[in-house]
Amino acid sequence: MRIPRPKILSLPFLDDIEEKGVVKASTDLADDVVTRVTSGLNITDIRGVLRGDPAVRPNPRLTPHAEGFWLHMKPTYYNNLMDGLYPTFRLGWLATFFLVWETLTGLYLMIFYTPSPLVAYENMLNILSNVPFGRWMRDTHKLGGELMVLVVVFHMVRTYITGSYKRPRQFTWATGGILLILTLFVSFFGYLLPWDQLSLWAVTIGASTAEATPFIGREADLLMRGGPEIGANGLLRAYLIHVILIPIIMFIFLGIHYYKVILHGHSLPPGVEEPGVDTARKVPMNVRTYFMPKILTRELVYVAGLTLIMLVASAFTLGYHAPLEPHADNLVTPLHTTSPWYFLWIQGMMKLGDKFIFGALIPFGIVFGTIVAWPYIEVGRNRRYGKRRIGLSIAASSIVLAAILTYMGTPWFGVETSPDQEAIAILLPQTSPGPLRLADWNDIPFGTYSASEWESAPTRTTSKLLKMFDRELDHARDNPIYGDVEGFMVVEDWQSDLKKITVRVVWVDPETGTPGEFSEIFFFHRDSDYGQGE
Amino acid sequence: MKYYVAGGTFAFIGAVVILMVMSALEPARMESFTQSYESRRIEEGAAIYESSCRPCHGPQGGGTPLGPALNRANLFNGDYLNAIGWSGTLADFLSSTVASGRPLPTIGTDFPQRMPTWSESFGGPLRIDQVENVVSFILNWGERAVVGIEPTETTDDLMMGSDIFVELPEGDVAAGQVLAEQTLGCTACHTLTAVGPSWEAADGLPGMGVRGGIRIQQDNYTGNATSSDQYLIESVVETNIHIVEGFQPNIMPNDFGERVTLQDMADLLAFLKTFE
Repeated sequence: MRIPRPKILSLPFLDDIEEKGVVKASTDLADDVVTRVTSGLNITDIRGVLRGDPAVRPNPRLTPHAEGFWLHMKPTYYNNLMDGLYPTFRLGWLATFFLVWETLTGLYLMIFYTPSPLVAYENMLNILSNVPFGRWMRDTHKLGGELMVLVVVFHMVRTYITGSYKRPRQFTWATGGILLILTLFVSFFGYLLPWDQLSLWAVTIGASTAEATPFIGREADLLMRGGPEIGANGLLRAYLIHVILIPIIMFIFLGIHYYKVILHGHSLPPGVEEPGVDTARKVPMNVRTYFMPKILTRELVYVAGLTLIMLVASAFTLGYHAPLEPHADNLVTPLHTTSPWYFLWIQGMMKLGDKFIFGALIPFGIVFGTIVAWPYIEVGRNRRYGKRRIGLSIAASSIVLAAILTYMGTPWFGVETSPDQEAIAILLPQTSPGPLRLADWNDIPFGTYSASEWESAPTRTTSKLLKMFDRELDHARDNPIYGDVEGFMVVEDWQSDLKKITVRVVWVDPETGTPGEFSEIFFFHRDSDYGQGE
Repeated sequence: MKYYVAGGTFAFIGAVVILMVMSALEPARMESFTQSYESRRIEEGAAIYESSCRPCHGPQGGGTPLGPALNRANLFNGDYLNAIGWSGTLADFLSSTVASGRPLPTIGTDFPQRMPTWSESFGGPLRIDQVENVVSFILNWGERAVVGIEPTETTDDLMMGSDIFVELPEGDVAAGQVLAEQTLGCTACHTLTAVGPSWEAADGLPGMGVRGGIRIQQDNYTGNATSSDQYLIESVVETNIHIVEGFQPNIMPNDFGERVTLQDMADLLAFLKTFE
């Protein structure tokens, strides 16, 4: 007979050990902890999920959806028609992935960043030269941001084509539209933070449209830039908008968006329901695909695959790298400067005329307003493609129009530049390193070379550069206001390991006979190595 | 399902492997970027020097009557810093001088102007990083300054010398303009500032292209020129033989004869003659 131990301290685990032995008590404790953490799945259940075993009854895999926080946001089961790639292409999940990706990489970058014009650019150089994984974090943050814009747009296009925005999901669409706008703007304000020429001028062009707002244009512009030109205040504001204001609003709208998806269920492909009927919410037992294990596995595979892709994309020198141009300078506007690519359509429209109408009213008032309010405007209940010819035609023509306007936003449309400057910019572009900076230092020997005699240049590199230069000069030669056009490249020994390269275009005005000249000087150091991803 | 799990696991392991490879390569990558970043500072600094410092300190840092040479050995071997009692590094000395200029002339020198302040912090035009870039560029002279500068440019052309009666080849106006505005930097004193007589027609005087004709007729003319062209050549190669009233000798360098070729002189002359 056991003598009861006097209880000084009441520890249930000790009692358990006494009762069941150490091994059994420990496994029971572990099981209990896991069940609590997963809100309802014990170790055996998780093993079953991972092995793809059929669920036992009552199904413990439903509990986390009912009792846990995270899975509360995910449907417990999907219709069999919705568990594959078609019709959603999992674009919503992809967009969520990128939001989380951007948050995590952004937090890492925040550690090494101070939003001040005095040090912001130095911070970039420090991130590139002194922070482990710094270059990759910067690259993947930038790439992820741009891909997120694409993914959100594709998600929206898909939803539009399948008519999933129609009743009862109008509000889900509206929150999605707001998330699209927020995505564009969070990316846009992030542009400014590196404080290089690209940042400053892309944002300056974008911000100048704020000035076109009626009545409060000047105030809106001042408020956003923090002064007549973007300086310390403007940078700090852009930073706070980028890291606090828009992310908070985005997470709120993401919550609403997800909640609405649970509430209404995934809308089924347009062909399977009677027109005007929505049966997505009630999924019959025989066509259910449970979230666990199938959907969960696929979503996790997406995450693993995308992480791998994002790593491969920027991990090594060959791959995508976020650009870093020279330090921001309000006095020097680089040739060929543009707004970010997803706002080029606005820049294209602004070339058409009035800044207020084409830069503010149409894009921000009409286009974004229509996108958000579309399900309340187009109220037809039928989701069949054949019955939505007008709606689908409007969408298709809008996409074509956006593509045309984007082209019009580029420097190749409607911008008058002089061919002499263009010819030099072909060797020394102002928005990217370009062929001369990327050339091998040793392959450009000292001397004076003329572009038209590229064939007799001493090295292949020099000959290639001069040929490019000469080809571009042909535009000037075709232009009647230039006579006797010739290009020169003068390479001088300037300092230890430093060459002075003068690229020069000379011509004669055919009417007056006065000579014209335009040149740019590039100092080239042996070790400047522009080709390592920045 | 099996393929999904296998694919996901493979992707996860792949991601971990890439991260491991990356962490092995990161130190080399960071070092390489640091080096190229330092090199680009020199490039940037050279560009700033070219536009802001060159008029007084000379195109290659050799100095002019307006400012001391920067590529001299005693700056880099520590003698100069010892002489002035500077206790910091040479880089500190340079960045302090570039940033805040010189309110007083350095003892033992006799330059006509004080070095202005260049940093934004002291009312100048340059940002702090630009000042540092200029310093990087100046420091890059060190190697050659200590061993002595070796002439690397070889040319078959005959140098001008100081013979103002020599026969010149055909001149080219455009090339002369480049020489005047960039290579030699004449315009820094003669057009942009009033350190030397302006080439433009002003105050009742014609442009420099024909002004020589008047000068050689003047009673106080001390040179040898007999024509307007010769006067111009003389002004370039024999700068102290005749000083125009209101200006001081030794302001204009007296070594252009050794720096320009016959062709350069002809081009320069052709360009100067466009000022009428």
